Amino acid sequence: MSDATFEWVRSRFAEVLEVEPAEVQPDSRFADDLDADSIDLIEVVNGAEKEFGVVVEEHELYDLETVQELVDLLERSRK
Amino acid sequence: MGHLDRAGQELKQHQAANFDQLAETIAETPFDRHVRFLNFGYAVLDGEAPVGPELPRGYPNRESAQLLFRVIGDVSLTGRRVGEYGCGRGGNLDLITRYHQPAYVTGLDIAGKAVAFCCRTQDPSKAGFVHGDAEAVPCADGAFDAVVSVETSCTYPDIESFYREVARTIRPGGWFLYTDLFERRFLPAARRVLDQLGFDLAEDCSISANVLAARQARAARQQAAFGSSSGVELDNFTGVVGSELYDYLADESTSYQILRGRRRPGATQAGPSPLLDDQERRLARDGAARAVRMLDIGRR
Repeated sequence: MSDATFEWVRSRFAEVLEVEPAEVQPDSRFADDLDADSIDLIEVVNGAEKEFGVVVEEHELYDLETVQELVDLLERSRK
Repeated sequence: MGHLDRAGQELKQHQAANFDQLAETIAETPFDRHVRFLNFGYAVLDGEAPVGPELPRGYPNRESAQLLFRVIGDVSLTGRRVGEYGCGRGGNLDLITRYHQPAYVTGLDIAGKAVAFCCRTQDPSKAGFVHGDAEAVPCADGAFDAVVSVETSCTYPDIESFYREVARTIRPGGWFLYTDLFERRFLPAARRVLDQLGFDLAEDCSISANVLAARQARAARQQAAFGSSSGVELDNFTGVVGSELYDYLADESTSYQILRGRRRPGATQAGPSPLLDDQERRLARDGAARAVRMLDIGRR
């Protein structure tokens, strides 16, 4: 399931950031590698909440640094 | 609003409507529950160290947090009763609750929808929110150990009433943690009135350069995110470079100023005689009218 979640997150980030999906890797850091800011992250998370039927608390986003950390958070939220 | 003349009442209603309209606009975006701040923020400039607690890496409103921490300075709020007049969407009090361990925080705002948002998004055991007027605060004398006011008083039609209410509701020895955009011509009057009301200023400095840098870094992005599909006018609200409000911030006739004051132990309430003269009162009112007009997002 994690792979499917990652692929969805990768695809959505690529769309929001207007980059090639291959540029979005599990260890990509939002700010340093993807040049994504909090507004980009919120756009992706809002979409993920609808896609996966989960709710992510605002403060849970604060500690995220990489794409994999977001995937893990979404996976935990689905359980 | 009973203390105000008709023009002052209209100004206050206009400002409340501005912020309620903004709440409706934000509610239509994907960012609604994430937007906690409506201020211009403070960018840390080269050679300057950030102040306050270290925030998580992904904290989204760093400039606004830095503005608050800069205003608080080294004042301890641990175990204190903290009020905020013009609390907006509650970002400052949320940060104070998370990082300063106050006894309790109370937010007051003239915009009912902002207050409703705060009530929905904050823990009622730690924070309470009241729909009300910063020029007629519904709280007891000495209710707070500290009152916060960030970028809101410049829209108040009767600034003297606001200062009197701040002094009335801060206990002697307590703190007024205050920052806003001022007409430089009015600053001497603001300092004098605060002194007359029993405040000694521990910090009195311009942070215009930091605020302008924050707008240069963030305004265009915020405007695109919050206003792209709403059809409202957010140039001034976000202070985007080239807007009338940005130019006003950048003008040498204005200063974004921190005035952090401690109410003198033993301070008593001021008498009823006016503390501002007619010219000073008019200057403040004209500034408020200009600010309220600029912050109108044009949605009715």
